[in-house]
Amino acid sequence: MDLFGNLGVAFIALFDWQTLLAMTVGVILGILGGAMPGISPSTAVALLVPFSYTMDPRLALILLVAIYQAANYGGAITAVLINTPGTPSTAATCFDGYPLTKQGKAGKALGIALLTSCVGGIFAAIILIFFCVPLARVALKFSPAAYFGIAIFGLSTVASLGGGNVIKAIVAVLIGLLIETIGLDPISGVYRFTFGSDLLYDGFSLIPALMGLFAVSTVFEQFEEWTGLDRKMDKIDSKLPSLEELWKLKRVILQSSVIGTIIGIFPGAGGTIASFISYDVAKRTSREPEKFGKGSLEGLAAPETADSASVGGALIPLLALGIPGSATDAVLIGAFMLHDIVPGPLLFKDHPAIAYGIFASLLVANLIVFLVGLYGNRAFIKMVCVSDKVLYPLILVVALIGTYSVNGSLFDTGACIGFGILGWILKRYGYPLAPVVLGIVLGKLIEYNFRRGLIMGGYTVFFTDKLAFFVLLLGMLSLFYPLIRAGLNRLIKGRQG
Amino acid sequence: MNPIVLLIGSLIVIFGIGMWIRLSGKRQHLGNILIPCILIILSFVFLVLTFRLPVQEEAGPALIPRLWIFLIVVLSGIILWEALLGRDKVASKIERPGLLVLVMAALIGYFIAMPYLGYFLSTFLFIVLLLNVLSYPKKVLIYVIAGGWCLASYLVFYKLLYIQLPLGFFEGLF
Repeated sequence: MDLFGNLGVAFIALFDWQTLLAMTVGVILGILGGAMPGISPSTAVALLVPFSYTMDPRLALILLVAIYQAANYGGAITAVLINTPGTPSTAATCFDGYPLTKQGKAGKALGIALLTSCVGGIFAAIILIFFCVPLARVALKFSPAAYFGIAIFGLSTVASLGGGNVIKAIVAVLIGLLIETIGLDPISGVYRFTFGSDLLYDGFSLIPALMGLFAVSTVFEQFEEWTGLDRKMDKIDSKLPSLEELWKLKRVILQSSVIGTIIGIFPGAGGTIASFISYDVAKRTSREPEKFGKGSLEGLAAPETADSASVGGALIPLLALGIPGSATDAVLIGAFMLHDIVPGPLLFKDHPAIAYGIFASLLVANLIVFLVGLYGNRAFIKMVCVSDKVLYPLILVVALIGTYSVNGSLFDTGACIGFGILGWILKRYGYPLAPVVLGIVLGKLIEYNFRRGLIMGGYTVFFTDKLAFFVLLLGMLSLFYPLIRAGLNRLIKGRQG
Repeated sequence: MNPIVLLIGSLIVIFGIGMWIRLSGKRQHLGNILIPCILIILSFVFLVLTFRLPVQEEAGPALIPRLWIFLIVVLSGIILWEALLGRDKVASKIERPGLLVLVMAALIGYFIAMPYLGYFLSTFLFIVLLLNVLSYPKKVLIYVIAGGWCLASYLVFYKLLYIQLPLGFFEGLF
């Protein structure tokens, strides 16, 4: 049977009560799991895998994929409302989502996050359906040198995240990059910068750094100028964005969908990198870049769309080649094995109902996310109406328990507090925090692929590998152009002064 | 050289620089000068530690850290220069330093107490302490909120998600 025939059968099979119930339950659990700091999409999926054992394989995989898709929107809820990214990939959502909440526009912010998330997810699902196999083959042609180029391109977003002072932004990203070198070296197996402590053998996890830098430091910042009076928000507006506002975001949504899908295809790249790159591209192509970081609708739409689109992208190598495109994909492979199914090229031949069922369910799951989010948002917004005297202590407690939940380690909890204090100090003296997170996210990818490229082909490999050279050149241009422009502006201002 | 000795030595140097800035006429630029100094000093500590790593022809474990260290030192030097010339923006005054220190100390105390008192008791005490410090007006509600959060985290994290939260001295009771 051809693609459309199989897809038609899959859609018809989707609309029975059990499948719809499984998708709805998956979406609700995914949103709740994603909203809880410390529970990443991979954790949420992993927790449900054992429960899916007795289910029909098609139903089980549809449930798990629905959780995966919905968890990214769930992470955006806490990112927007309390500046606490629920999942690492929603860190960039905080940049403009939380300022919108502070302006009393929580409803608009959540509405945009919801809608753009759904559109990004649907776009990626369509790409997955029509281009799954050829795109997966292209992704596999990327050598370590080319991956290094992608990572450098990701690093170039530092210029957009830097605010006014580009040098301090670069120092911030270097701090993140250096922190990421602590612990076991992935290539030589040597321990670096552990100061003789076995607690540092695994280095610092991303979640404690995220919770500390974003949530804990923000609470400290609030206590700096504590007046004892609750925030004067005239009204927490639960109104959704207007159609006109949404229409103005069409360019950003489309470009972010493409970016998210493409980045998601590369194993190891993921929603976090996709959302940062998308934010950067949106800022550079925006007519109002000065509004980014202060509650820009484009600044919110871009990372959310890309994050959601990366889910579909990540499923491409999984379904077409049996290679996990993300941590959650690795958990999904376990789910496939549990049901005695092997993902890869033969999946479409041996189990078409499952392969096309996943395709169809991704489209429908995004619609269910929209409906659940639409009604759920009114309840979520109540979170912001709570008194600050209750909200801030609870944010601290949530951040700590979320951090502990990752590895069951008190060291991570201590690291979270340490990052919180570090984040507060850095922010106070003009060092932006987003680049620190960027450095931590990209550190291993940059180092691992750079050194692998060197081992495989020496320094010349970055020039002789055409794909690597092209991607690296793009990344370098993207990184240095804003610096050169900032330097020239300074020179001109100096001469005029 | 022992890494701990290096770290302690660095802290002493940083403290000395901090005292010098406070006593000189650049007190309002204390943070702006101290932060790049700390970054430079810590970078040198890390650089010394890289010499203990095994040497490989290409792509050794010290290669990338040294690159980051070099860039941090150079750029922090530029930031320090601007701060010494007074070109950097002065940080705003902290309105409630006492409250901020108290919250940080409470958070650290909460973390230290957790392995002994267990998650639930230490969290209950932490929330009650903070709500009282922040003068939350409804006293009974303070205990309800603290107890409610402990119950919710027990049900969700401990029971539903099987996350083994520390129980401290109460370990034997469960």
